[in-house]
Amino acid sequence: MTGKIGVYICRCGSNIASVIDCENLAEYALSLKGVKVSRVHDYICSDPGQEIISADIRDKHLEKVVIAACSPRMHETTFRKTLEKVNLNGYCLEIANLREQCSWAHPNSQEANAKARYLLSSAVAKARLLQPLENRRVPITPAVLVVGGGIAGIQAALTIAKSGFQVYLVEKEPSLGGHMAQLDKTFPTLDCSACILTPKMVDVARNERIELLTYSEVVGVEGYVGNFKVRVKRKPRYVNIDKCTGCNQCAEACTIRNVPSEFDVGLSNRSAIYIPFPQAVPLKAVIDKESCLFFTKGKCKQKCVDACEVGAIDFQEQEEEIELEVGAIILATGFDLLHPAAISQYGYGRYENVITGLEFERMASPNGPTSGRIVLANGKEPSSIAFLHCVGSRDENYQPYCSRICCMYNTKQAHLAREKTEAQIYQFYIDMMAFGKGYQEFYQRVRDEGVIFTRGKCAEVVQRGDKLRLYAEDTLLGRQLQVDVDLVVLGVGVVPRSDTSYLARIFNIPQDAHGFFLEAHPKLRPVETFVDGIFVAGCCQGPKDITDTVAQASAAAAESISLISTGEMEMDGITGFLVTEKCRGCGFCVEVCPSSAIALNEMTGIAEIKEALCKGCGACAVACLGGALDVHNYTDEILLEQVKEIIS
Amino acid sequence: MPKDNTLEITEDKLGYFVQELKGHESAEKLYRCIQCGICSGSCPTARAWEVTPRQLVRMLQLGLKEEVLRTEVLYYCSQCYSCKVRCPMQIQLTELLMDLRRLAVRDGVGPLEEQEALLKSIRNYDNPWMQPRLARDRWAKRLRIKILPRERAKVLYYPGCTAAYVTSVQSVAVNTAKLLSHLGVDFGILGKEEVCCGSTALRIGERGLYEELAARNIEIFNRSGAQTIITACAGCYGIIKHEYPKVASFDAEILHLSEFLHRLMEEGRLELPELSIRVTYHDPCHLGRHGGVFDPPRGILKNIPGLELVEMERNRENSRCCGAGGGVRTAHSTFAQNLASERLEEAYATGAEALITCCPFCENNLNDALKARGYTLSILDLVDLLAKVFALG
Ligand SMILES: Cc1cc2nc3c(=O)[nH]c(=O)nc-3n(C[C@H](O)[C@H](O)[C@H](O)COP(=O)(O)OP(=O)(O)OC[C@H]3O[C@@H](n4cnc5c(N)ncnc54)[C@H](O)[C@@H]3O)c2cc1C
Repeated sequence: MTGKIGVYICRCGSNIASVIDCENLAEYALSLKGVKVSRVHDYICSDPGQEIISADIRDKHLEKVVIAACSPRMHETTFRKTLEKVNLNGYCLEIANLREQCSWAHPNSQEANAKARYLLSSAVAKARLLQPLENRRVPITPAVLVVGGGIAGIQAALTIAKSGFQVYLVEKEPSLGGHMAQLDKTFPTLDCSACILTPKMVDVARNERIELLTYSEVVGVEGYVGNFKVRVKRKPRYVNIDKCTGCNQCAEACTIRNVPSEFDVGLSNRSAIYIPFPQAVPLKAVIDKESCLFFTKGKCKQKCVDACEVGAIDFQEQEEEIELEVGAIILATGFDLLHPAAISQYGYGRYENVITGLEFERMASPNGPTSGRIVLANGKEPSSIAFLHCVGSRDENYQPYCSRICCMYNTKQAHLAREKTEAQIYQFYIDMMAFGKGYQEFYQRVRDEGVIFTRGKCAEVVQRGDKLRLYAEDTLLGRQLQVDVDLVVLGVGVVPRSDTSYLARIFNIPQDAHGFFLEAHPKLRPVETFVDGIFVAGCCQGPKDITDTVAQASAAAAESISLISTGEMEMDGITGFLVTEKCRGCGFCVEVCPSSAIALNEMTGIAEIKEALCKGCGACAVACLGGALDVHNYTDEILLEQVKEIIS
Repeated sequence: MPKDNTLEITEDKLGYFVQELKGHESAEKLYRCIQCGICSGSCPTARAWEVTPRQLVRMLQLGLKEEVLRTEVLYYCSQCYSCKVRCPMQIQLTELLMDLRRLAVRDGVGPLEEQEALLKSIRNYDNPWMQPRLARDRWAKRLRIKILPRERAKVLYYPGCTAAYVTSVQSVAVNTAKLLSHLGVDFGILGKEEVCCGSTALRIGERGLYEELAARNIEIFNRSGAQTIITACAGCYGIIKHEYPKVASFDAEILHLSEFLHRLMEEGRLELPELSIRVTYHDPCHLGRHGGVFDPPRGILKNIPGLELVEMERNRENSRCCGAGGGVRTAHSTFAQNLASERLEEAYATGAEALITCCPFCENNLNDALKARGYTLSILDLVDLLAKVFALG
């Protein structure tokens, strides 16, 4: 069944025609077996171009179409539709790539014309043997998993829930909130961070369509776009979350009181049973097994149990694993801050009045360890403060990239320090990255407030008496500079979470050169990953401020909604197929299949392809020793026919 | 008429330094400089330069030849490597200075007069101290040490010119030899055949002379048959370890004495007797930042029972230069002593009885400053301290 073939050669403006003699090629086409029509067009992908093909199919009863134009990545779908409109199966199409693989690669040579003939003749050979196929339709699970409950995850979850879909929000810590919950005010508008975040956290908890899984982690993912199966480990809180009222009596009763608080980055202590912070969601207690005497020593007065009026404490609680089914996944696992002890010249860890930006943020916060007062280690108010920029960022010795938020948070903190203290304030910067809307204005405002901005990276911090002496160059004057201050705040940079590679492996997505999750395209596919159905949002994809985080999270939500709202997914009809008589059940194919689409049937002992999972990559066809496996329209027969055509 | 201060950039000048320094690693990353100034902020000597190190890089980018190749710009650098280890763009500024001085010397701009005398001495006597060649192993006279390659030994001890000739620090050479014998190490020296390592020549811009010396040393290193070369001088160590391999290859492993002893200690072959003393340790730039040796000297000190090691505010890779290196002590002795004096202040503040170091050159410079300061602090080379510990007298 050869069928009547039509050949359409595209000049692509001059992209192809400037190298390939298209008319000559069209004439050659007519000499090939099965070809009934052969035409040349300036832009065959244009409406008039497609119209010519449709007309020929109708009038000349064509059964196969060969297009010699650009890469099938560009227009395969376009032309399949052209065929289908006039009732020809879309798989009766073959494309010879005359542009990327010929005219662009070999500009102006005779060989290009010779190669064009080979490409065309083998395409025609293939067309002769093409089989009509049907696209597969796979149902989509109308639910989304969001991993990470910082502002990115919160925003994405709320957006998806609003559109009516089910969301599972998995957060590793006992409460939602991420870094934003730890901030005092936010640049550039100086909104109180908790005031704008808490309502959203509460909305998540109240939303019927969001199942909030705190103190939980994803441990395994199977399946594919539209149909993921996710295993989630739920760590025991040792507190019955349905009974706990968040009254905090247990924490006050607990005898262990000296555990450094994670929320206050070690600036205050908490008890072994605790509520992470007053606005926590869920507002429920949790027992930290590492510090609780009941678990470490096996004996404890259990004052928490006595204090709890509702009997919520349950030392017997066990870890649980649950399975979720979702159609799409959004990763929003956020960031870590660079640990500045490695940059030894700044004395972090050695000098108690050298602190990080996040520590400053906690101090500035009214619900923080100093109730919003900026103080030195000895409790006194500083009379001078220096903020250092680019601590570990834009530095080949640490992180070569710009962390994007530090210039602005340093500037914001300078403003807060002005507000809260009488201190003289210095900033040591290299370049001010005030890129966002309203940022330059904010920077200008802080300059107006009398903060001394010094252009020069701080070289070192050395204790001198009870002061910290800073060394730098005032690069605007070209002179060495020394200044003594009381408090040094390090504008430390953003780094990938320490478990990013672990997550990348679980979700099977790549990381960028610095370790952040890699987006599919930096400009045009900023929230997609290379795995269909998995999206990224927030700082897990790269450093960004809240503004950009929220925008990206909304985009990721929109992408997931647009995916799952179709209810069904169309998948390419090109899959592997099995000739059962030839299969010996050796299982090689099962091992090589990257999509886990093949299994050995326990009853028959031979291979079985799960069509919905198959991507048609052909790995099994190569591995199969008995020649039992093959891929539709890429069969050995077709490939051999193409080779024969080329060497004849 | 007021001076016209316009900077005129011309395309023919732009690539001048890149062209001149082609093939030299130091110039590879020149254009990456983001002008952050951490080099200048870290530099112990920049206060004296006519332009700051950061400005110098800018001038190199623009090819401002006349303004760069000036002694007022190039000859205050003490080659301490502070700029290099902190540069966020990993520009090799210390090496760059060496290369620029080479161009200055070529063009007759450098070196400085006092340094000329030094070079002359090296050319004539193979040492910078104007001492006869024949006197090079006089320190070893009564010690009965093998002379390589005539005799054979596994280890070659290379004292370098300062320990070999300068009486005030000759104890470093003597005590090293005594200590090695005491520990039963099979070692020898090159005797009168040893020549200057060339560090000084290289660092003040006489690369030709340096390469000649390096080649001679390497030749005799290879001929000596030694498997390990030990030096107790930070300056010799840095150059032999990092620069010699660029001149020619040699088979032996080069170790600073402190590394060698630390190895023995880890193998359980160095039992340290007790000494009750409170000391601080000064990292010589060429052993620390250039050589990468921070832990072995500290490891040895901490293993002396009764010894308490207190660190100065600035230590290890942040250690402050004593001010002697790169020809600064030779040409600007008062300046070098001011810098040493600042370093002593930090040492004194620790309350230590002694400052221990591993470089005869640092020791000399710090000692001169100490006299002026009048601190009650003794300055000792690590090996001199060990001689005391082992009572090698
Ligand atoms: C000192 C400082 C001040 C700042 N000030 C401002 C400001 O004024 N204005 C502004 O716009 N931006 C500011 N920022 C930036 C802001 O904090 C970030 O833009 C924002 O927090 C990014 O949100 P996120 O959700 O991507 O990440 P995160 O806030 O880090 O949240 C990630 C969440 O995911 C969870 N998680 C991580 N791994 C897993 C896992 N494997 N499974 C489940 N959950 C996981 C974490 O526990 C966390 O809750 C500041 C940042 C700092 C450090």
